[in-house]
Amino acid sequence: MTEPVRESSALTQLRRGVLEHCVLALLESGERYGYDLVGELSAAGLVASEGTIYPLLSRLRKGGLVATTWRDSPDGPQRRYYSATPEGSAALADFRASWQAFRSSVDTILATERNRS
Amino acid sequence: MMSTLQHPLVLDYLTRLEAAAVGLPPDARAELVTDLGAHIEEAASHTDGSDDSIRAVLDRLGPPEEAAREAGATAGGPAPTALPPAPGAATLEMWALALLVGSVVMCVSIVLIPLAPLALITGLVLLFISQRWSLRDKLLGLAAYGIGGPLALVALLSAPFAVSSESCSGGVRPDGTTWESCSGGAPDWLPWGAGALGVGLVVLWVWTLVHLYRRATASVAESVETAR
Repeated sequence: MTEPVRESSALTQLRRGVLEHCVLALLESGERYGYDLVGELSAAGLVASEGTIYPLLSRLRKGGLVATTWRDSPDGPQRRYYSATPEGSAALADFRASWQAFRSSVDTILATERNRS
Repeated sequence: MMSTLQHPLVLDYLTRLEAAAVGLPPDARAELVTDLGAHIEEAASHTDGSDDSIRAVLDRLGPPEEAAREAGATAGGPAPTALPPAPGAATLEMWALALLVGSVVMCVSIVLIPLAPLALITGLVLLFISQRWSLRDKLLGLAAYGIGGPLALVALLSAPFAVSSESCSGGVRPDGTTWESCSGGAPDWLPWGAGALGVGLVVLWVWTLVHLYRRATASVAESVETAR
């Protein structure tokens, strides 16, 4: 197995910081089963190793932010469906508010730095 | 059709996952293996089932050790390591050292001797509740101040009695010469022994003080370095 190209650690840290709330946002818009959720996050470039999403989901479940149910799938194995709980939606609302302020602060500073040089 | 979970590549992956997750609580470990197993089955059902496609599914999942590490960081897992000491002021440690040294000074000052046990005991309590000192540091402090101090005090206080318990008798012999014999009392080596012990204790106290002070104020990296 070839070693994946090592990404900048800043990007890795950023992903780690927002991933949890991106999961909550996806689940708030509608319940998903693990494979689907992982696929969406992966396509958005938010995860490098898909396997790490499941421990994150487990933590969210233990924290009461997501609920899970196993259901039969029309073809093949059972699927575990995840959905956001009211607590999960509340945590997401908090994050959304913080994120707006955070993003504009960073944007301002990055723009200042570029204009100076 | 052979189940995806029986595929040698998948079996190998899940075996590595189980091994990497061995430090997790059993239910967290089982959940992790179940979740990744279900993901692999689901993902493989969207492919042609060839070795290459299975390999691609596993590659996207990433190394099983990484998923296990993520679970260990979130599922309790092995006992979390103690937080490194804060780099701020070591107030508690400075009080502990001041009280320990203070108890010795009080003994030397004679008049403050009654306060010495209080200072010593408080100092030792602070010494042992500190999170900056290792157990070895604490035992060193206990030996130097908690045991060495009282021993020195007892020796200091009992010395006059040892000397004063000396009894002598003498007289004039019939031939006119005088005689004197003494019994009990301090042996000849006592002053030297006490002196050596005293110097040794002072050196131990100073060395312990410097050592504990440096350990309390050292940065995390330094304390790791010295602890080796």
